[in-house]
Amino acid sequence: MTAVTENHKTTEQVENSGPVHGAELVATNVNKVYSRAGQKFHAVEDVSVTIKPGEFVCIVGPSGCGKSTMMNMATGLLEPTDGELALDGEPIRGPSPDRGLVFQKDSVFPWMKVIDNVTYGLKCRGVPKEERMSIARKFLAEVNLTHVEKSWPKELSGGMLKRVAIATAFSNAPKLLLMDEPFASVDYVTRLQLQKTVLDLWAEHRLTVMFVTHDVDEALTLADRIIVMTNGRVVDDRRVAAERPRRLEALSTPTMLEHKASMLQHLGLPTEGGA
Amino acid sequence: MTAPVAERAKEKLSSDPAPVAGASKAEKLVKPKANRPKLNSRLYTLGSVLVVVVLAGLWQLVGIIDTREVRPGQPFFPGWQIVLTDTVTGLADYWRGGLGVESVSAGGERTYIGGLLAIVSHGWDTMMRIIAGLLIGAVIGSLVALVVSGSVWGRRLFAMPTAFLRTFPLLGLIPMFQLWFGTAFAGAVTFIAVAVGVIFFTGVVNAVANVDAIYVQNAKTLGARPIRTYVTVVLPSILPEMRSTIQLSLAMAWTAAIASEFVGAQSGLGYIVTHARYFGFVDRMFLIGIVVVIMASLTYYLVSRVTKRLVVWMPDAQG
Ligand SMILES: Nc1ncnc2c1ncn2[C@@H]1O[C@H](COP(=O)(O)OP(=O)(O)OP(=O)(O)O)[C@@H](O)[C@H]1O
Ligand SMILES: [Mg+2]
Repeated sequence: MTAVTENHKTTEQVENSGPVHGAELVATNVNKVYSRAGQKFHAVEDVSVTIKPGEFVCIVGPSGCGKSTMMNMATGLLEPTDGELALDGEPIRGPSPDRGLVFQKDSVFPWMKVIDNVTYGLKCRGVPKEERMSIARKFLAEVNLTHVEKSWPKELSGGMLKRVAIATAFSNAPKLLLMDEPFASVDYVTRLQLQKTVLDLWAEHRLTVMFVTHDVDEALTLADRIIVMTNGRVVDDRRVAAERPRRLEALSTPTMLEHKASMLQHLGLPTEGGA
Repeated sequence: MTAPVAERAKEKLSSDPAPVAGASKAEKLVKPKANRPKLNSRLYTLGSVLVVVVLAGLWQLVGIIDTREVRPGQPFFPGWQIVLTDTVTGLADYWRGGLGVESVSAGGERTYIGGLLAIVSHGWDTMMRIIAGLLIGAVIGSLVALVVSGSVWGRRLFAMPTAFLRTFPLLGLIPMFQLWFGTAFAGAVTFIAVAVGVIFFTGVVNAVANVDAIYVQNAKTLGARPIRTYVTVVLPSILPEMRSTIQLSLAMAWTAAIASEFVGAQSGLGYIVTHARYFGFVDRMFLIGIVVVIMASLTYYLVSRVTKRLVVWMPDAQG
């Protein structure tokens, strides 16, 4: 049902072009303790990472290991119990349009038409109407949703809603874009296409991206760097140096298979034979 | 309503536009909905009319079976042959004169015109009280609620009093309101406003508490400040719940208006009922009851139509 459009600029063409817009995220000894039913629960434990400007980082880990908690703290929606997060040296206190989040759950406002959702952030920042419409239309086109600009969200499918959320986040030109399992509810083909879209947008705008996924292959396709979390701790942090764009075949090179095997081991999966 | 919804869902599935497909498909997705509900709603209307006819027939039947009388010529269960004739002319008693129709007390005759004028003028009085009370109560109740639920402390402090107010038998306080504000317009309006205000207050407080946090968070990460968040996120997302609050408050407004007119008022439909009771005019009470039902239903219908526009965005908006 989905065809990958050819009219995108390819990653090669734009990579390394233009100034890096992304910001540096530094987490220092970040802890988050929830109290659940009277009991303390350490959801994130002593996490320290530095994410460089313009880096594409994937966070991989089993369900409940604290990925969303980490993202919410980076957004400023959640305060760490202990430790500090800073963006370009500035401590993170509360949400800011500098740090955009594509939520794991549906966050598109059902009472606004698609186009109004995408322009929402721009409106908050006082961008004039003409300009915000043209920005929003550009990103709607990038995620192939031009034809539903005037639709209500209730008329869209789950995957289409996710794309609206992505267009909304990109329109706002954040310096750090946090994406929390954005493609979890999207079919395989659309997912491949969206991965390409996100990579293209990332390459073009050179922002810093933190991308949460359960899917090791997805992480290997997207990331410069992969952080593996289990039980609230960072257990593995590796660079993926493979060239871009990474097509499906790129995932079966010896280096990639090695990456995969050792990440799966960190995730607790016994690997048969290995690479 | 289940069948058409399922069918609509099917249409949606099949016409779910592929990302690359052009605009035409997306538009088709909206159009086919238009016709079928119309046919259905016609069927429902026909059904409702039938039910009304059957109920009216039953009333007639009761009048035929049970022929007891309050006093000679005044049956307990007056049939339609009385209610639609003598009762209407009898209501001319409550017309105060003017428009070329003399009042009965000034020597005028009991005419259909007189009766209808009485119904319209007293109905108008009741209606004005309701509209004034509703508006005042809705605005004040909602504003107070929005202020209270805008702050954490407000919510905590008002949680208990709110629950308490909701169960409070306000109708029992009508005499007190009349002592305070008089039995005329102001007394009735104040009473209705308080009754409606309580419903709006609790309704808004609850609705705000039920707003999905993810929308507020989304607005904040996109750069919305508190006031914008409140206006563009909290307000629209409480609208669906507010619709039922409005319906509820409308029912309350009618009850409160009629009840307040039972005690001491000099006009209004409730006043006619009280007056008719003194003289055992069951037929007049019955006819006014029907007038109230018709007027209340009309207000329901109007309000529901007007407010439906506010929630077109809702998934599976009730048709
Ligand atoms: N508000 C909360 N109160 C109490 N416990 C919480 C809260 N939010 C999350 N947790 C707990 O913290 C842990 C980490 O949650 P988190 O949502 O960060 O997981 P996740 O890695 O994003 O999982 P998933 O992949 O399933 O989305 C979980 O065990 C969860 O139960
Ligand atoms: Mg999560």
